[in-house]
Amino acid sequence: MALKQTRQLFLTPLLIALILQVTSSCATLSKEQLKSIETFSTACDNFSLYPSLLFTEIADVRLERGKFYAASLNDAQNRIDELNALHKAHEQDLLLAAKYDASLKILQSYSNALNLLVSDNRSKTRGTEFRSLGRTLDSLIIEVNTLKIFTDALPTGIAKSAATIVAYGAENLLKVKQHRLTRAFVSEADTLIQVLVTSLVQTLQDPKVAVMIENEKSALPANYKSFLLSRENTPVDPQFDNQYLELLDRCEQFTYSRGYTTSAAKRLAKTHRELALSLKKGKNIGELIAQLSKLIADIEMLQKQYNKIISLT
Amino acid sequence: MTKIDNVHSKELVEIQKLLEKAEKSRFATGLTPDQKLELEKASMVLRKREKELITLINKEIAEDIKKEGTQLKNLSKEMREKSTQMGKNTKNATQVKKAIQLINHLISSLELD
Repeated sequence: MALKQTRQLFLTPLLIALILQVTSSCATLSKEQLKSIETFSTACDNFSLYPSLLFTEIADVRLERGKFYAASLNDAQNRIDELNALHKAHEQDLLLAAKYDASLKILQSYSNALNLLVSDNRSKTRGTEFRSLGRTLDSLIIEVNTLKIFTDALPTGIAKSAATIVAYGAENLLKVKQHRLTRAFVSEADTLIQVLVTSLVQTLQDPKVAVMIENEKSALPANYKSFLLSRENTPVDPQFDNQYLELLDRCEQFTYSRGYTTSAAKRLAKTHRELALSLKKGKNIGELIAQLSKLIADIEMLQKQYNKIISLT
Repeated sequence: MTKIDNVHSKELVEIQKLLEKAEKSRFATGLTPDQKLELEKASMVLRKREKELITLINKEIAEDIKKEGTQLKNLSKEMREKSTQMGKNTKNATQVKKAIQLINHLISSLELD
């Protein structure tokens, strides 16, 4: 313990001196670069709300069409058993969306960290906030790795970098140093973003997701038919027809939602790569701004798509 | 149309076909109340299997990512190579990265003690 303290006592000033020396020749970020980081951060935060909604939406439509089938059963006990089974199955279905959400929280934390780094409002609390975000990001990555959604563990180096930055005195950093750290932070995060987005896209493009979508498309009319046949001698309220049409429309939106989410996710990764290159290599900012515009357009499409679905429910 | 090459996915398609037949029988004319009840139960068995298959496929969707590990590893390797290539051209950025890696390494070794 004493040895550890002694080593820390000697090593800490050495490390601070080392990092300041090796970073001393880096240029500060331009206004356009800072604005690009802010724009990316907002886009990243907005995007993270959507991917799991596809799985939630499929689960919700499945529950609704199941109610049509349950209502077609004559025996009271059979109907209760079916409704109980539906409830249980819906909970299971939502687990996939929850697993997806866990990994998307990383994007939200990363977005918060970026905002903090490029913020003009420098204060003594920034170091504390940034350290806290580093820890949050670290715990989220560990949580996702524990869930074993992806084969390859997500890299945790980014959170360590955040902690390291604070470790040598983020509270007292000048804007120039803050910009250098932003550059290093974005660069470190690129691998994490690429691995995460690749995994998200692979899940969305899994042929089994297509099978699930097709199953809902064919099961909905079948379940509604059973409901209508069970009421052959009784007039059916037109509100059920409207409910059926609404569900049919939601089923048709699955494929579009899947496509828009995939495009936006790919664009997010591509834009982050451009951002990292722009900060690292001083690459032409025009290319980055063009990518950012496309990313915003993709996310707006995604927002419109889900607003359309919300208006149907 | 997606090619269905998964056992559970294929069974799900088959179950839908069987359910269609079962529902046709359940609502056929001239059935006794007992026959109706039996057919209702048979239909529910198929529905139960449909739900089980959906749960299994949901689990497989999450697990399938594991099988694509090689692809992910190749991607990470490619990214590392690109990063190294970039580092050759941008001395300062590499220095920052190296410094952070070095500090991370040293802090990790301290934490291990």
